[in-house]
Amino acid sequence: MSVQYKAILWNPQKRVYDLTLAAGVFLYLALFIGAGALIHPNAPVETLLIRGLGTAAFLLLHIVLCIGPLCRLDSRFLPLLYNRRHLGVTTFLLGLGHGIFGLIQFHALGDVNPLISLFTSNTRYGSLSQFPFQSLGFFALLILYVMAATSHDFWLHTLSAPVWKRIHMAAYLAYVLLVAHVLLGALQSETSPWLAVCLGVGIVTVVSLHITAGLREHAADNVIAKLANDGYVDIGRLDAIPDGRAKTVCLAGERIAVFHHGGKASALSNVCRHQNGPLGEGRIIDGCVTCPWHGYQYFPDSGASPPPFDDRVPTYPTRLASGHVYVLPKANAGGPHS
Amino acid sequence: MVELLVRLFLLYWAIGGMFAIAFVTAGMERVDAQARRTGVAFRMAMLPGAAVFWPLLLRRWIKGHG
Repeated sequence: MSVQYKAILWNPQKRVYDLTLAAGVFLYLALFIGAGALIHPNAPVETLLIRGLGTAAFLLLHIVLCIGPLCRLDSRFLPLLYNRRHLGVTTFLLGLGHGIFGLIQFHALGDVNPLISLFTSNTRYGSLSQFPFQSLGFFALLILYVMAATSHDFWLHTLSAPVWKRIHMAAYLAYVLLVAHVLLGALQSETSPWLAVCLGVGIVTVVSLHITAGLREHAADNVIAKLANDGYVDIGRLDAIPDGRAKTVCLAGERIAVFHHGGKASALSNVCRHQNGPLGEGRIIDGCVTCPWHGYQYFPDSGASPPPFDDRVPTYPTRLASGHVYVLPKANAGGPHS
Repeated sequence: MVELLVRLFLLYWAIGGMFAIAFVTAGMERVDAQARRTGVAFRMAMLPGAAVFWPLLLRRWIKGHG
């Protein structure tokens, strides 16, 4: 939406977000390495660093994956979503540190290229206890790299929103690979149960949050709407929607955000052009529907971004009768992909 | 076989790295008008992605898409 790209569009919230993130990562690593040195006094610092970086990256990936469903379940989590891409980049950088130190410690001391050594030093893919789990970590790191490298809006614009979204959905594939990396790697040599318990809690948390959020959305989509004779759908009373806010409904397979602004109703696609953010969870600021994720704005009546921006989301015809809002589930000229 | 694949991967990356430097220096504006007159920090941040998607970007650069 910006007319000229910048590396990062800094604002006070992003600074607080990133400072908190940096402090959290530093504190975690200090505690992990400090406690590790106390519990295992003979453990080399490189080993503690490899484990600290790896667990920090894995923990952050859990947080990244949980933010989406948490925001759908409770809007108070939305501030976490605001700068999630920096969480993702930090996850990659921690994983990269883990990978580089691991490669140096275990594969750089011979005369074979460390990357070739990673794939050829152990080829027991049929063994559970001896599985070459490092290759799983490598592919997960590769996915995280591509995601981090394409996190800027330049890539969203260059690759197109659907392709960009598909690339970033690969975070789930990276997560599965990393679960297997831990299960077949660190867990095979771990004698205490704490790692297995932490991993189990992590998996259950990620899966259950996604299922709960999905079920709630599915239930909301299935609310029976009353069809009027001319195709307009009664979506309820206007005064039931707080002024400046929206009610999101699913009509004819499309998610539509119906906004109440000063006694009027406007219906727009719920999908922000930027990163498919849920416009219906946003509010009207300065006369514009404002996406809760990154603040992209659209006029409620036309769906167009304010000048000089040229984005546009589809709008839907609405009418008011007896205090009720009726929406025609047929996008105005230009269609849903205008 | 694995060794060959790793070497091909490294070759792809090496070409991508060289392309990325040229792309962020001179090619971005041809692909996306919003990249005109952008700063060094932004261009540096685009290097890793350009090293991955260099075949696509090279095609668009040649076509002058944007």
